[in-house]
Amino acid sequence: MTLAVDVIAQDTVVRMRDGVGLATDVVVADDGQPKPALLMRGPYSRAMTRQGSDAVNLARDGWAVVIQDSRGRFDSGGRFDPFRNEGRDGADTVTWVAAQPWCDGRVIGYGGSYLGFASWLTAREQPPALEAICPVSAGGGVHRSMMYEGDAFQLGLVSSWALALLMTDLGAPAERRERAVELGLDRERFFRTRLAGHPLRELFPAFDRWLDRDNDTYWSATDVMNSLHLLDIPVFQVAGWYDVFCEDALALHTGMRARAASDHARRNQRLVVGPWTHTTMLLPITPEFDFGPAASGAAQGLPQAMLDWLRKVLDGAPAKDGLTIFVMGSGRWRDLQSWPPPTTATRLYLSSQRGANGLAGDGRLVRAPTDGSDRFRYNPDEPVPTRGGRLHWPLRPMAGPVDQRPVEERQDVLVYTSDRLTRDLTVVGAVTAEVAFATEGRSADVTVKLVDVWPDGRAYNVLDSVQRTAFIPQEARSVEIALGSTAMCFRAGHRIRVEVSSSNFPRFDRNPSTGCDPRDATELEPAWQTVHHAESRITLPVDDGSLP
Amino acid sequence: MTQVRASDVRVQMHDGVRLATDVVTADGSTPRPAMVIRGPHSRAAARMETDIVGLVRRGWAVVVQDVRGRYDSEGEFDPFHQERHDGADTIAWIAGQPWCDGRVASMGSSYLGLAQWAAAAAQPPALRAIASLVSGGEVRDTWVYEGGALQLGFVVPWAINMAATAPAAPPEDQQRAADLAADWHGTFRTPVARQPLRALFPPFERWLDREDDAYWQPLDLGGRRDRLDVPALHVTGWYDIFCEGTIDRYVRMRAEASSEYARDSQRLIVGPWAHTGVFASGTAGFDFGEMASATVHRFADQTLDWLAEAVDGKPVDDAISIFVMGSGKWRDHTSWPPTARPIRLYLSSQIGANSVHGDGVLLTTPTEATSTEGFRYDPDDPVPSRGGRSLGPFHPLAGPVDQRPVEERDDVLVYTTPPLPVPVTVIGKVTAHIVFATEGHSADVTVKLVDVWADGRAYNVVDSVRRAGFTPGLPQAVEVAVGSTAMCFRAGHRIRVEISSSNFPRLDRNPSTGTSIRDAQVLKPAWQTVYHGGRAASYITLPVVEG
Repeated sequence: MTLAVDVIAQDTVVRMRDGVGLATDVVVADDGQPKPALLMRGPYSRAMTRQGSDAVNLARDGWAVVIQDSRGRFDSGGRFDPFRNEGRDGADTVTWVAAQPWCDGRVIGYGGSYLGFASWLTAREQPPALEAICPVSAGGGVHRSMMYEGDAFQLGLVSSWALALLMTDLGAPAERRERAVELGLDRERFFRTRLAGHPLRELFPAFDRWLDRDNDTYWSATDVMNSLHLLDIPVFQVAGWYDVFCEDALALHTGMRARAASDHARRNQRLVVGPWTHTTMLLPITPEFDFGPAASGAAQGLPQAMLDWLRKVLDGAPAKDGLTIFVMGSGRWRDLQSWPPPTTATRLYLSSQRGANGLAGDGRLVRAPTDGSDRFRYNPDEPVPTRGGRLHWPLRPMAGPVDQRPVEERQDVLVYTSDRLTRDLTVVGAVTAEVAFATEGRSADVTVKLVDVWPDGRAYNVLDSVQRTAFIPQEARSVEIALGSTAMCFRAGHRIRVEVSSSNFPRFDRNPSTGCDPRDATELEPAWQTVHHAESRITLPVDDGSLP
Repeated sequence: MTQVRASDVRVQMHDGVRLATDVVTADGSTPRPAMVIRGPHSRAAARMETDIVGLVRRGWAVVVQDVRGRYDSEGEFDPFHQERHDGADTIAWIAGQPWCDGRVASMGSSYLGLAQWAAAAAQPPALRAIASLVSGGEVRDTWVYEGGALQLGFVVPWAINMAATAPAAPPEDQQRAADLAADWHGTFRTPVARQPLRALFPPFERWLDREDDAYWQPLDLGGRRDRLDVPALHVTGWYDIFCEGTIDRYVRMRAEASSEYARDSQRLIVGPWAHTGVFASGTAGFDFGEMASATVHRFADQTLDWLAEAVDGKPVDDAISIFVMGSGKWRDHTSWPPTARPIRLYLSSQIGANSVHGDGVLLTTPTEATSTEGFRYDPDDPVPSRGGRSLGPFHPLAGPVDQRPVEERDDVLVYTTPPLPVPVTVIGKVTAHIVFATEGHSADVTVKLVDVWADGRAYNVVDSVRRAGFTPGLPQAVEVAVGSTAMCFRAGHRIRVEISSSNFPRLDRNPSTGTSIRDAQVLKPAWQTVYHGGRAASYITLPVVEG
């Protein structure tokens, strides 16, 4: 029996370059040996991070653990401006950590979600002591991965996150917090509140800035993507197919593989993607779906595998690189050298005779284009409700696969279903759709959802997204929708389904149809929308047997 | 601020077995009160449930321990039984350490709560207060059984988890446990008589004998005056599998704890939570709004403040705080259950109450004539569990879930009121009196209370079972303790009651033959009869409060 070494936890204040002091915990073994440090910085309180990461155990394992409240949050000084201070404050903290007697000069950015964003933004500042980062369910570009998707605003995610931050803003006057609680009492009403005059714009000033989609100077400060060629660090990421930040994790991985500053950094890039949502990372089940025991992160040795990998990378030993992904439907894990793997593009065209409106319609997915069109009425007062997918907010159903039949009953949802598959069909990679679309309005959202239909009729969403597009009224144009990436085996006997509509609410804000900026739109107008079949299709990257 | 130090030590029990223990306290501190957290899920799991560094900064010394036979502790795991002595030994050891001022409190949820009650029953003099979350009843009838039926969907996965992570188990046994976990539905469907888990995890075998007094009697705390004398904070959720146990324990402590101080120092918090989401704003499938959540009420901080006051021997908050579902509001009570008017709703139908397509209604007065209603219980096709007080790895997860899919079944009798003209608020324990007959020698009477929304959605409020022995064909009245709740049925909603004979896999299936589940190789179907009206009227009783 060996007893673990004593661990000590200190509470200290670290000064940033502008003199603001940030509240910081140092948790480290009391053995006098300098150690590599895991740095976790975020807005959710040190208590939550200490607990969630089991800092004592990390320290017993030989890491120095540094946990810091972001500027303006909990016990730290200064004013909180989400994401915007994390690069500089992170770099200042890395420099401080590296100089401490308990640190051997090597610092690793660690932690999930916002803490993972903070790691990427710190890396962007290139503090020399930063040796690696391990972001879990995080992205590296705030605009791209959190605020907007297909040019539509991620209303549900962003507004409920801002509300949660407000409720826990201990520095704010009590009436602000009370107002936030009040807004949270009726979430349906909260989400339905028009962006023009939205109470969060005044209560939480950053929210007002976030509504300015095209302010590039604002957004470029919180994006690491254009700096990847400067980064000289190994990265271990963990992502989930149903996590809101999945696409960015894949893009950052491939970007670092191709462009990072050194051979060492390009080689040591690792990404594990499971069938997980933002709040069920590493768990084999979501609130509505069971992926089976193999889907557990423990099946991949996580999270310990991440720390073992870090050790190897820090020691200069060869470490596993590339991706490990979970293929949903087959329940198997696959190792890949690069993303996406080689596949064959399979195109399925939208088609109908009488009309594809709802499940009662006769919409089909077919191999060759047909003539014809479908029409539906987009009504912003009665938008298509979000059911699962890549979400993170308190409304139910929660993120992940959810039976879509209730929305497929709607007349404003075009439903196209393939014949039963005679053999398994595995889709691995980025799914795209082209839809020839026309509207009465000047702007429309084209929402596309890929669905796995079981033999008993259950219909589980695989991927979905949106493209907000400007139109000349009644003039058709081709709209390209990037649905996102997945690894999904559609089983023999199942059918593939595509839903097309113009809303997915409250995941995305509602299009006013008028061309007016949603920030200023006091009226949201309904519109008749048309989908022309001949040039409308979904493209699936299908494994042709070359997948390892 | 003071430096916190976490040390890994071994604490020796009365029989020499050493338990792996973290001691976390402040360097150079004067002796302090200690908080002890003991459990079977690893010290790491306990540290990830409680911010131990934060506790030390609040003035506590913290002790986290693996219970006997689990993770880094020696000995053999004998769930519940071992916690009385080991808990008391550990508390005595803590009180004698130089970093402790002789006063000890404890906290923890689920098994960690039961371990606290077991230790408290040994009356260790140093124990001043406990906080028991989503835990708390008698082991036999709140952990293993409910209404006489085995809580299959909870105890089987729990036991498998224990077997799969047993430190001393041979790898092949761990693998067999993992294989059982890989196919939950197959494992649940295996009749208990052929359940491989019986050999893998010996305590499970003992649990199958509900009449084995030698096993159960030592675990029966009973809230007796001579056994429990400790201030306690009780927390549960209306959809927690241990809701009834927690509330019963609270009621008994309030009435029967051995000292007046202890009787006056009991606090109860019940939110709209499931076992795994205490202090959240809802359950996996249902959002109760921001008022339900700990973010607003800071319940976690409140718990620690309460324990600190109790350890100081100060008068503590003794309120009962409950969340009234449907109203979205909390209300405080001084006694449980609150004063309520019992309203009986009588089951009735003309053509038949089978499924939501039948004509079953709930009436405020019984019909004069007696009539009957039948359905076929088929153990090969039992009524599937949908939410409620479950804690299994099966979907849908615990909490309110739309019941319409099971209400389509002909083996579910469905009785519904007209839309309510005014809101009806039910607070307290719901019971049902069902006059029932079966072809078999034993049957389960399952009763579910449901809130039907104006758009047809039907959310379960509370449900339970009574397993009863019968003379074939002879009707008898079965009293079903449906369970406690606080629920405002809104105007325009309807109240619904479902009656059937299964709720699987939450509860094991009745073999119908009267044979013990340990021995029943065959589970038999049976035709069941429910009586309406006259002298054989069946009804549900709702405790209705004003406002």
